Amino acid sequence: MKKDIIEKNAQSISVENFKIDKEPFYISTADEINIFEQAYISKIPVLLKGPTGSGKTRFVEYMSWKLQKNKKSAPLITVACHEDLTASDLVGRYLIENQETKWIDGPITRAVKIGAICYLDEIVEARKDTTVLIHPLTDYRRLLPIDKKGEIIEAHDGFLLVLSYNPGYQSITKDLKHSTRQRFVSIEFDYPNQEIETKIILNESGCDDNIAERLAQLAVKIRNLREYGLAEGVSTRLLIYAALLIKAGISPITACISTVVWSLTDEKELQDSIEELVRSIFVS
Amino acid sequence: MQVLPKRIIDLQINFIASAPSIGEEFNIFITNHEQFLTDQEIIDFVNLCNHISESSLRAWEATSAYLKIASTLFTKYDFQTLMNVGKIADKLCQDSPIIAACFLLESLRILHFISIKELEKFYSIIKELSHSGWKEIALTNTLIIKSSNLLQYIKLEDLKTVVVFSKLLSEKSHEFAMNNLENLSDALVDIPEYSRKKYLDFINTLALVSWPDVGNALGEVAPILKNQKSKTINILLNIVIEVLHLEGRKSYEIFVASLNNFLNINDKFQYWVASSAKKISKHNPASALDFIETIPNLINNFSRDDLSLWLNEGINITANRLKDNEDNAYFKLESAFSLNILYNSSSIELLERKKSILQKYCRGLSGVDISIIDSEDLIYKKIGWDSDDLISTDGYRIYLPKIVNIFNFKKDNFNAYKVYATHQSARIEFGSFTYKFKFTKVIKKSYTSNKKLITDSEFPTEIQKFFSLFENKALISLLFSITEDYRIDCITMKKYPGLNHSYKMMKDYELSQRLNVDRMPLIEMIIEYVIRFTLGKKYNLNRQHPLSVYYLKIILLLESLSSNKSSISDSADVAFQLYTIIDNISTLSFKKSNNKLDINKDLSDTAQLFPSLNSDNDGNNDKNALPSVLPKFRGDFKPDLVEFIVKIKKNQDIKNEGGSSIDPELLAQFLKNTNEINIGELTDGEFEDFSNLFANNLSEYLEENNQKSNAIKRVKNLSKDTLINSPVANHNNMSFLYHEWNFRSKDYKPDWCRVIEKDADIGDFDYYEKVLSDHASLIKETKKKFEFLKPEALKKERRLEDGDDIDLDRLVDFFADKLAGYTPEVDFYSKRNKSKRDVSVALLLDMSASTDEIIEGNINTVTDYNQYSGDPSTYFRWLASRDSSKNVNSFKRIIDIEKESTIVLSEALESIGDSYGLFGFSGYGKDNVEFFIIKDIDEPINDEVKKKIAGIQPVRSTRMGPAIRHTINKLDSMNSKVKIMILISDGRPQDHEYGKERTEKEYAIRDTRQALLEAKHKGIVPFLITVDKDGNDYLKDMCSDIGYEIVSDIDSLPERLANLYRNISVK
Repeated sequence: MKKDIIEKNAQSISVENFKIDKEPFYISTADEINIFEQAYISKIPVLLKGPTGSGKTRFVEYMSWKLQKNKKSAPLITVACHEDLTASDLVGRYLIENQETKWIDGPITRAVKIGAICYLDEIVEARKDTTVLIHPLTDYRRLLPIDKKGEIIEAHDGFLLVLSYNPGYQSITKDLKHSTRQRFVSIEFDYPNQEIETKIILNESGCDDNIAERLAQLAVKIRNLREYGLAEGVSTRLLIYAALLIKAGISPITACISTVVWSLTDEKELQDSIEELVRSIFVS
Repeated sequence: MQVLPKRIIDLQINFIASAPSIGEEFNIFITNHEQFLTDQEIIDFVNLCNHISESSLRAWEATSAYLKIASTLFTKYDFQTLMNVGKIADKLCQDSPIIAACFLLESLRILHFISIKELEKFYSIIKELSHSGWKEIALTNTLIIKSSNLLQYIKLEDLKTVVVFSKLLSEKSHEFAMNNLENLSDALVDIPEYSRKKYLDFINTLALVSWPDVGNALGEVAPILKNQKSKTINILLNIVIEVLHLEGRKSYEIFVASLNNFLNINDKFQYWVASSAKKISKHNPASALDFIETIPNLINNFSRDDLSLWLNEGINITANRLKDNEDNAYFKLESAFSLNILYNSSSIELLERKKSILQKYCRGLSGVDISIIDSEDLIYKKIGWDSDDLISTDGYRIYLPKIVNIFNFKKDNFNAYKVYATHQSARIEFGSFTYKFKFTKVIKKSYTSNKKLITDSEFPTEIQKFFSLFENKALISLLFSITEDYRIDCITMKKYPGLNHSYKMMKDYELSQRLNVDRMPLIEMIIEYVIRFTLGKKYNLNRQHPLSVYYLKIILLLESLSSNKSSISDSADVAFQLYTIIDNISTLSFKKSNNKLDINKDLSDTAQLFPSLNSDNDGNNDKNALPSVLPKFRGDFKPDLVEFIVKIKKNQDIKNEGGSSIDPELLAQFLKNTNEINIGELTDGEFEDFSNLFANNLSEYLEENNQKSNAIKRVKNLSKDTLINSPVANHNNMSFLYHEWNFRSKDYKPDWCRVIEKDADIGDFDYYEKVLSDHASLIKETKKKFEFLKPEALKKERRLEDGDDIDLDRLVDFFADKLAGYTPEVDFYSKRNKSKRDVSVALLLDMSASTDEIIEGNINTVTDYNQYSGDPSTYFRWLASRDSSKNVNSFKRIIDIEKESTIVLSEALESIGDSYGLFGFSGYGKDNVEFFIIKDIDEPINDEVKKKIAGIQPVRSTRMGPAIRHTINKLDSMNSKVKIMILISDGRPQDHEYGKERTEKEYAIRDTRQALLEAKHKGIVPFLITVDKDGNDYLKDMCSDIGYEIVSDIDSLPERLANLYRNISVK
């Protein structure tokens, strides 16, 4: 493990050149791949809905790779939205360089220009002025207005706007507006079923079959608690972390407690209940 | 008449003249004994008799008595004894010749128990009691008469104690003292020899501090102490004597209760308990008594080592306490600390402590909204589950026993709970209640009888349809339980391998509890082997064993159930096959019995066990013939009953009816066919009664289910551990248990108060509107003031044209844009802004009876009294004028003002959008704190809420602590940043047993204070408003650093409340 880490040094790649070379591991649960593909071809923006860790980001990566493979698309540009993210953060801004100004394109502008998939993760977190950009880009016009430069950019054919949001997680005040929602094809994500989740864990962690099966079983049991004090069910990501730790030699119960139990909740009683589930499923 | 010798005649015998019979008695004595007496002795004797007879008018009685016993005394003892007795009588004569006579007549009996030398001591004891009054004489005589009896049991010196308490009692009631003296010896018979002295001390103490109880103590305590060891009794009596001195009369009852409890303790524990109590009593005798009262309930569940740890901690605490000012909560188990010590020092596991975890655990496992409930609750419902220590499920809830203490470690006992819960949850998860009857291949193959028509109307459940195939319902039911339990166990072990260890422990434990199989009849034996196999014990039966072939067959069948894929239908098939095999064994038993097969038990017993196997009897007759042999940890499996309940519930859900309608025919049919309910032999009339009762119980049970699930929805954010099921309280209401702070022990009394949440009464809708119009201007003004409150939560606002701070990132952008020729907006300022309100408030109204008090409008009563001249002749005129002026003024009560304030505040709060709840509280006693929901925090205001405000009425007492705690619970479930609790009351907290006496203020005040502090710790701002002008004296103590205000002019409450709210919510 250590060796791998040392061998892989950091490298700087511009977003335009960032391409997903290796096929991301993704198992389709319905016909979401087909829908996305057709949406891409038809230039219809896509809205991905689903709880944390249900595979939205991975899906976009997979689609980016798949479309590139079929020579249909440019790279994927991902923006993690936050509450201070403004429209100009997305479009671009002037910078001062040697008493002169220089315009720097923001991620959305770059995506529009090169025909990339622009993935705005957790869009409802961003400031409301971002909708000013989103609306003209997502209807038939496919235009990006850059006020400061007095320009309008017509989107590259390969450009696609993909938004994601987690309906259960945000408060009502942060819900997506209907005028925005109704510009997208929506794909709903939920946690994969036990069988698929087992495969995902197996593939992502390389742990043994039994462990992967047990972790997927645990996930189902924990997700049963979603209405009883648990804000979100356990994500596949956490299960993979647990699998990795188990593979590295940590006992399954210890691994699950630190990756799953403690990450999910701070409430002692709920922790204890989940821990008992872990202890029933794994042998100490 | 005999002639007296001359030496006698010469003497001066005055006493002879005092009564006619005396001369004769004297003559007889002299005639009989003269020859043995010297002259001097005769002179001395005559002188003594003279002296006695001269002491008073009735002294002749004493002389006569003396002469009557003289002969016996002289003969039995000697002249000296005769004289000594006479001298004592002579002295007694000084007080009363009657006492002297009584003494003389009893002296022979008394001398049987004391020596001549002790006579003087006896006299001095009697003397304490004897006086010339008739009551004293009667009492002394009774004592003298009883002495010989008493002296059989006690020493002479202990008679002193008897005198002391008799005297004390006679001061209260002569008759009472006499009666007790009469009964004393009977009581002493029961008391072991070495405890009698202590017992007298106890009676003596009672006479001093609680004299009416002396009679009871003689009648009830003595028999309790019979056959007990003296050492133990002395310790107990020592303790109670001390407590009686310290605490007075009330301790007697506690002592008797403790004593009765004490007797229930196993012999080997009794001395330990007594000596432990002695250790405690060194520091606090009352605590020792509490200890004795508490301990018997603990001994069954805790080992002596566990209890010793708890005891030592308690002794430490007791030793370090100030004696006068502290309560004895520890040994009464009215202390959370004490309970924790007990729990932590023992191996015991309690459902109460683990319920919440197990509930979530089971919900996780099954994905069903399962509740975990104490099984006593289910037994109490009387709907078919009746065994003690039950483990079961009705498909929605899992019932578990209160306590598990079968292993030596707490962890293992918890795991036992986990196994119980998992097994029941697995029934739900793996489909134990989903059986659908059909003629499967297996059944078709073996079922040779004519296929009868199995209809829904005849058999209301699928299980009954299946069971109808068999003659012996008890057997098939048992076998079905065994196969299904085994299937569930197998799947559970595969799906949840982490539980294997706990399951094995549980199974090993169950195996260790099974009866000896060797002495069982064949059929019981094979069933026992099967059960043991399901518990992991496989036998290699010798080929010669009559059951070996059958056993192997059965095991093969059972093993087919161990697959993950097996279903309830497979369990039924295997049960069917098992039944057939056992049927064969039964036939075999009969055949072989003639060939003297080596079976230990008479085979006719076997035939009796399952008569219907070989007879044409109706299977119903032997429903309950089977002994209960199933392992406990798998619980009571009632698939038939559960299916029936689920069916009824579904029907009701579809019809959307309450729990009132259960089709009587369907029920009767079910009851006739089921063998899961122990009905016994009933006549038709009895059956109908039973059926009606059962229908009622079931309806109530289902109705309660519905209401509970609705109620649970309503309060689902409340912490689940406070949610309890009340077997006593009204089932329409939710009840919650809360601790109460006991300032004396500086500890919480665990789960002490029961808060019952009720919907508030509905009042007149017009009331609300009327208040709105009456207070229109106030409401308008308040709303206006509240408008300014709107922004609340501090948030950094960016991109502003003006502000307190500059946002550097924006500023750089600004200059860059400017430099680039683009005209940027000036939006680089930022400020910390109160951008939005995020406030939840709970208004808690005191609805105690005292709020019914009329506020006397503008009349100032002090002035009124000043106006009264003091001249009695003008009093009525003054009173009439005062009352008439009162009529002119409004007749508003405190509660009316509270209601008006509520309306004003609600209107204002609505205008700014803060979440608010309106609650009222009252009640009586710790188990009935009523908490009225007028408007829940997240409930919108509507006409019903308005009517509920109008319906607010004074009810009973003011137990503030639990009401505050419940409000905290409600606010705590809100996500708001600012949480406020405003309590409006008209006086100090006060309730039945809210403190040592009703008049004690401190306990209630300290508990309320603690509850308010709890609110603070939870980040809630508590604020108290009282309209009690004298509030200052206790509010200072109660609130210290908590905000409070006394609103002296009650009419201004609505306005004050609104202003206060502004201040609090902006802080």
